[in-house]
Amino acid sequence: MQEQLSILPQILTDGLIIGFLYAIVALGYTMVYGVLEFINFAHSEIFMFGAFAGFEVLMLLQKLNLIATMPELVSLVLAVLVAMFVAAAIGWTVERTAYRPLRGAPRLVPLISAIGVSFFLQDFARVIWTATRGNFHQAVPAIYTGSWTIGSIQVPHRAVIIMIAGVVMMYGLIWFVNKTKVGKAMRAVAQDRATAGLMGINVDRIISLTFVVGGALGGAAGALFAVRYTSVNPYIGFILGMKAFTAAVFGGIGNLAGAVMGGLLLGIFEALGTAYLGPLTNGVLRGSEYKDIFAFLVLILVLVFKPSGLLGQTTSEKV
Amino acid sequence: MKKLLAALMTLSLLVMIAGCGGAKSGGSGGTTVKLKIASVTPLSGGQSTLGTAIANGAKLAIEDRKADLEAVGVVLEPLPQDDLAEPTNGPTIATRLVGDKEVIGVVGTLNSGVAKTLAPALKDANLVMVSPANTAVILTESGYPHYNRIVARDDYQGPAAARAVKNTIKAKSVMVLHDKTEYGQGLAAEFVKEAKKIGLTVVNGDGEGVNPKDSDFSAVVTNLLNTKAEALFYGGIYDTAALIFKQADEKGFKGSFVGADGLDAEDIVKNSGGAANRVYYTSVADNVYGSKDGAAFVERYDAAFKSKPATYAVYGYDSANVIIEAIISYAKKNPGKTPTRADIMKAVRATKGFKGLAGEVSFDNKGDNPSAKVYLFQIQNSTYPGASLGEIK
Amino acid sequence: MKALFRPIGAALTKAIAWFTARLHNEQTALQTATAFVAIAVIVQVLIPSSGLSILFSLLSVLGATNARIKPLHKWILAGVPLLVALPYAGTHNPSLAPLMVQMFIYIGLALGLNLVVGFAGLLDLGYIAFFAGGAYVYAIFASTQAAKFSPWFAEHAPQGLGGWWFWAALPLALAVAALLGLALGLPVLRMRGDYLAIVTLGFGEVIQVISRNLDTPINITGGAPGIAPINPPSLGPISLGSSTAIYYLGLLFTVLVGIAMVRLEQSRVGRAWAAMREDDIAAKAMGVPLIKMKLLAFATGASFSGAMGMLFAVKQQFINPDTFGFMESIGILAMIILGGLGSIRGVIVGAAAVTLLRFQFLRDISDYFANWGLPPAIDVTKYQPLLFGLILIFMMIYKQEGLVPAARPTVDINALEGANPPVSGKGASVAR
Repeated sequence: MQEQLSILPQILTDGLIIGFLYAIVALGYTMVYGVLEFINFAHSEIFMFGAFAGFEVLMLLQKLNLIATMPELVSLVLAVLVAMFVAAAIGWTVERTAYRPLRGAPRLVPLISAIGVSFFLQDFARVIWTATRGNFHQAVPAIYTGSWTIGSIQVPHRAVIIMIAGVVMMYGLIWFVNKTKVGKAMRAVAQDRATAGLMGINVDRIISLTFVVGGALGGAAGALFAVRYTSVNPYIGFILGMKAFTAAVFGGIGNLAGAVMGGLLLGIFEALGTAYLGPLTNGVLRGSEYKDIFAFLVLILVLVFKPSGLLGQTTSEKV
Repeated sequence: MKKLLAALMTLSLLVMIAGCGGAKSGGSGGTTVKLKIASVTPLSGGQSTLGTAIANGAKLAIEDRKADLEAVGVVLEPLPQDDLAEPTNGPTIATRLVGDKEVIGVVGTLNSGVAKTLAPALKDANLVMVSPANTAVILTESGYPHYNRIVARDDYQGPAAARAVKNTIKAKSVMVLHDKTEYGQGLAAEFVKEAKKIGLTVVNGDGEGVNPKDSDFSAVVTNLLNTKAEALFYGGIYDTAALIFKQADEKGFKGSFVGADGLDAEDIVKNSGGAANRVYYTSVADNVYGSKDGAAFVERYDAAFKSKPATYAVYGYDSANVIIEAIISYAKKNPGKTPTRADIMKAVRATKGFKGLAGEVSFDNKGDNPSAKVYLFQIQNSTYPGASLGEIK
Repeated sequence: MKALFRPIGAALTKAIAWFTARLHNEQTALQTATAFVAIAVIVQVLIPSSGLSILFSLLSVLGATNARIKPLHKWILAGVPLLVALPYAGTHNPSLAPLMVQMFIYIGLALGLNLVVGFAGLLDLGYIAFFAGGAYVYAIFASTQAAKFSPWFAEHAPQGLGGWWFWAALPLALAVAALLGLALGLPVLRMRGDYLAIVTLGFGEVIQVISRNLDTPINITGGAPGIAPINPPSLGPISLGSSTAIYYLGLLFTVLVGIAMVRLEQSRVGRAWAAMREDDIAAKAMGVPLIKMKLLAFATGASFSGAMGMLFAVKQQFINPDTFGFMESIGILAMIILGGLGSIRGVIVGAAAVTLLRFQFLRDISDYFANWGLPPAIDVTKYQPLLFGLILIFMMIYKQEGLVPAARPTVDINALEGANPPVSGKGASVAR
């Protein structure tokens, strides 16, 4: 057990790093949910398209031999920006075609449509990259390959990028929602759609915008994922999306700071569980084999004992 | 009611007539017969490099033996099937193959898990299978008359890898991971068994599974560094292996990476970053491309498919050739007769001392190839294929 | 767009239900149905391997059951293709019987999921977990698996239990699946639609992870390699291992599930579910015990899934965790959405159509394209997820009630007004 405890700092660091990834994906879920009270099932697939967009940018830069010659930061920013744009476009399209016609329908209806969109996008990515690159499983050109060692803890540069991006995205989004005019309109629509419409807010446009912003967030997260793990495939969004959703619920869905907090806690909890399940059960259960269950446990526990999450407000259900 | 009865009577009569008519159709006595050899491998997805190599190898074999086959009145065609490396696709593909009366033999599968669903579904149709890659022990222990493989089983490859880790790589302790599939887990289990026997320390009990669809392996890598193991054995396929190896390398793991023939693909070099030159893998063929025939094969393969063949291409080539050989020998013995699936099934099982590109192929009464050997390779200078370090004794 | 798809949808609906349902004269209806069935049977027997003849046979069954004829005639006419023609054709086309059994399994699953989603309005995305439960209950003890963890089995039945186990396992599988349903139902009682969807999805994943990893410390599920071979069931001394026997077994199961569904829908419980689905607050106010009804829906739906899982284990003679993936759950959802949420007839049609499409027509299309020299890597048989996604989106946007909508008991307001005058205001409140 002594040697198991000696790696605790590294485990916590690993958990924090993966937690930031959950956090930036969770921001997209919580943003859309905050305005529409609707789980955008397709968010994980928009994230995945963002990862592929980032991959394509880096491939292009590599082909032009620019990755080696340009500062790494330029490659990174280019990849993230293009990914944000692509993902925002997909987010907008999805809202226009699959969600908007169903506004006002019973709850189950847009939800099923969203699941359909998610499945469609996932397979669509498979088809596109099988057709264009011969395989949907692709390796991403590596940038920021170095790492820092602080005492016994080792932190790769790529992970730090995600951490910085997570903080920037959270504060940027909080500023956007609270300080800008559009953000104010979003909050108004979230509070009472009909009244907001009467006050002269173009509700349709604001909802579209919500999906554009949510999509861009997912795209950025995707590109950062591609840079972090240097490997993309159409199925990266599925499990990650579920964990990010758990993070959003954990922190209190609809609350931006909560999403980040939930992501970090979930990441750490998962890392601890994976590392110590083995030693705690005397090697009977292996942590890495049950890794994907921890997030689900958190989700169930939160929903049973504190459905409003850590930072969420208790709201009575709208009838 | 009377009308209904009458209708039913007519109906049953028609059924009987039609049935008699239907039974007679099929089978022809022409001078040439058209037959197909199907290949069942993943042609898309994370393992498509290996799967496509097998399918292409089989295609090339059919192409190469065209003249020989025509001499005995057989026109042979390839029928590549994509199983996506998912066992659930086995029965679907089996239905299709059984339904296509021209299919006389199957080259495949790549994954033992797929073979487990495919083989039982082909058994009743007597459709012969020659696998270029399955290593799961149970497949040839199930008493299938139609299932054969040219490669060595897990209980041969896994222990060989363990001996290589101890004797050639000279590591004293090893961490064992696998991908929780039929192939990977089976291999890892046999590795651990032998390791314990020869005094090689396995630092994580009986090995540990990871989710091959995951992207983040920091937990197992941290554990790997903590245990101070000198080598990492991964039972599984190159796509996940490359990710784990790369993440281990980035975190400062300095030991060796070891795997079996699932790692034998170009992508292991491309995707594993700085870890590439410490990757060892076992293979049942020794440096095929060094020989004269091998070099010629590479040339023809490159001309036909515009890419360098992975080693599995040779296995696919040999597997198809085993079936082709059986067709030709049957046709020579029974001129003018169209072989049934059962005929070819028996002829394939009777294969003795067939000289393939990768090595000799014979089948024992279970369908195993007793002549299969295991060789160790190491990636050097980040180029694929790796350099052969010789047969593992 | 909408203007284009509406008529197509309407035409499709009509095409599926047109032939005999509209003939009011019983004599003519009987004759038409008989002729239709007769032609279908002949085609089926002459060309057993074509997907179109299977489709034709199934349409004839649908037409016969739809026709306005006496129930006895219905049963006889529907029975001829199902009991005689299809099994007979199956002896000539070895792929036919497994395809039909797969279809029966999906019909049973779709009916069960329809109970949860369509009747009770609870979106369950982890439905395949109960299916896995049933399959494992049968498979573990009908194979060498049980001997791996139980010394008793190792001594007395190393090859697993014989065919009688199938009948003994049936109530057990129902119970295990129902318990799993309760286990899922309890924590999600208070959740609304979208939370419920995510939690059930997670539950499905968890069951898969557990079945994959329960080979240590005690080897119960066989882990990732799964369990094979699985002993066939038997009836006394007769083994039911042949594909024809399994076909009849599947038919029996499906018919029983279908009858149970019809009875349930018309029962007190079924009406309580409908009330809960339409408006849970109003239902509660009317005295419907919500918690009890929700749990009952989960448990009942799950137990149907468990029974079908057993059938699946018998058919495949092999199960492993990969067989019970999320794709299957979505596939079944697509079936009930396509056919019509809450409509028993629709769900059967949807399940049959999607199964045929998945396992027969996509294959036919891809064979067709393969002749044109398209690379197998972009084979359309793999476009199933794409197809499921499209079905879900299009049906939700253009035809939420499905191809064969549920026939809800409707009340004619005008007739009502004559008998007893509306309580207050206009009849609009009654119409809702």
